[in-house]
Amino acid sequence: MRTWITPGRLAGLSALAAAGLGLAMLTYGQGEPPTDEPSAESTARDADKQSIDSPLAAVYFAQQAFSANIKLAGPLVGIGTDRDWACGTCHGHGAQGAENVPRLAGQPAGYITKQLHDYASGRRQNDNMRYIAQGLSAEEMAALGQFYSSMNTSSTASPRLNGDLERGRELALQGDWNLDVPACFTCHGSSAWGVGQGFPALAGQHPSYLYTQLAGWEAGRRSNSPGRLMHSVASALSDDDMRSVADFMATLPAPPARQSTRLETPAPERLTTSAQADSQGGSDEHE
Amino acid sequence: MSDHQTSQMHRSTRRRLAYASVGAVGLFIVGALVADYDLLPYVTGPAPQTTEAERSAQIARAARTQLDEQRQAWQEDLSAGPPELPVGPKGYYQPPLKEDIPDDEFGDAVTRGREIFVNTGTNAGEFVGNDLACANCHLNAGRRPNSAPMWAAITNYPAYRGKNEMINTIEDRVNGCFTYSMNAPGSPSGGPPPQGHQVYKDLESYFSWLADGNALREDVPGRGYPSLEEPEQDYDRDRGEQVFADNCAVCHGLNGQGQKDLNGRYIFPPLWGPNSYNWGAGMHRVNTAAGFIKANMPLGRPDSLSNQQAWDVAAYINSFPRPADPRQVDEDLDLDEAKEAYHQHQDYYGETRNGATLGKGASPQS
Repeated sequence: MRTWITPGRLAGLSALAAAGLGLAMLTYGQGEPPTDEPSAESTARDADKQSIDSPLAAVYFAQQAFSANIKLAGPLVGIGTDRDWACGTCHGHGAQGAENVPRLAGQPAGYITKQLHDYASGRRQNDNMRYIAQGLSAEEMAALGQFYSSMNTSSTASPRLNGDLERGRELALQGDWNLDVPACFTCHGSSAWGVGQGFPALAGQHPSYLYTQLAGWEAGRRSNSPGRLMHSVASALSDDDMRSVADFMATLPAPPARQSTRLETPAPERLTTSAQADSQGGSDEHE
Repeated sequence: MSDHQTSQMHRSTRRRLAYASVGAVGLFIVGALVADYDLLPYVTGPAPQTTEAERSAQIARAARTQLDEQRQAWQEDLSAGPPELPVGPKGYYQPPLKEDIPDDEFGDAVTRGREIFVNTGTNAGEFVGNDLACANCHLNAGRRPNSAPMWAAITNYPAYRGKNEMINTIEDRVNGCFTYSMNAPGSPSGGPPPQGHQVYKDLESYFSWLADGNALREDVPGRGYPSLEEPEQDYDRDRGEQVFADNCAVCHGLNGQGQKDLNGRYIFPPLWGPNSYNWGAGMHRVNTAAGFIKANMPLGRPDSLSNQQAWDVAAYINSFPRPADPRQVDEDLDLDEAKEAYHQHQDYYGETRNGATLGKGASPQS
């Protein structure tokens, strides 16, 4: 007598069932946004957003960076401390960065210093950088700002994201005014080497990193841009546009070392909200 | 055919029917799952998505194509009627696209005009007495609605202007821009381009090309800067100081002097002081500046300031020293006379702020 259930049919049916279950779980996981953040921490972050730094924080921190003792930076960059690994471990000894680790060479001193404060306070989210930054004193952050801004390293970036370089160039040079997106160059400078202390260089930056930041602004993972300017821009860009503009920046020559240690625009006497005060669990050495 | 065979056939039919039903139920379940959990993209790959940028660009392109077709049809048959106004994705007049610049002498003039407009200091530096460019106040190279777009300006000249009490051609009007907004008296040549200068021809070619298809002498939407309603509280420069620090200083600097990049080029223009527009420029009027600011600033975040904030910050910006009004200098008027003759509007001309008398003209040291 022929039996209904043959080993072959059994195997086929279970495979089908498994596939169905797998697919269902896959989409179920994607349908729900990840909710791995404890609510207490998100509340703390919301409070941070309310009291977000003065838009002039970078100029304020540049003042500290220019008067910092640059000798503090060397060991941190090259050797690390008992607690922390060296900056160069990830950012490279020319601070050239790679993939999702940003290039730092030639960035404005005030910008770098401010980012370190923002990592320490959780305003900018990244577990590695949060750990590192919380181990740094305000003076060390300032010294690192000065150190990296005065580095001269040629670009090691190249387009990696399969972006449309022509579209990237259009966004960089003209913007897309139908979307209220001004040209990148109107704020980041005529060579995208950055402007003043608040606007970082984009030229020669790694596409994966730039893309991740744009996506982070759109999703609210990064919310520390002055006046929420980047939030507005990133929210208007499509995924394709983000890849295109990130790839285009990788085709440009990287910024040179910054020679000047003089502020070109006045700094606020103090910040409207003290970054040091909000820096949860930061080092005691913060002034 | 025997009975045995027939019953076997029946059994086989029933069996097949049963298989088919089970199969159908199975397929139904799979289909329902696919629909429920939106799995189709995993089977067929993601559907090609049109981004907002692409949709906008398509609308702009289609508007210009339709204009060309309707013009052609009208040429061939009068009864087809005149073309409609080409309308872009946001409902405003759609100027031609960059790739539409004709490949001929006129196109060359359009391109030169655009370059002068965007990089005025480099391409018409002889006549520029400050660190501004046309495109600083006419955003997106003179194309942006509500940012005094050039496609709406050129179609309204020649016109009588109360400012100089005569009929102005577009050349006269641009002469005024150089004289006041670009502070031509402080330029290397000491004045605006002389009559008939190539700078005018190139700029006018660019404007005229932008307005190709726009209605003549029509107050089209998006023309000029929006006129804001008077604020609930009177405008106040002291309140404006905080608005400025919170929203403007990150680009223009706490001292309003703008910022250069590493190449020495001004990226953010100075808003007051000796290198900004002078006391004769339309932008020194609080209402004009408020309208511009509300609709256009901060860059990328238009209309993010309230009416009151726009008025207050416009008052703050326009209550600092800046280069003298050329009419006051040329006609040898004192400040009171100049105020009487030329400043009967919402401005700070002749007033004293922080120990400085406004209108006297900012020297490079101030």
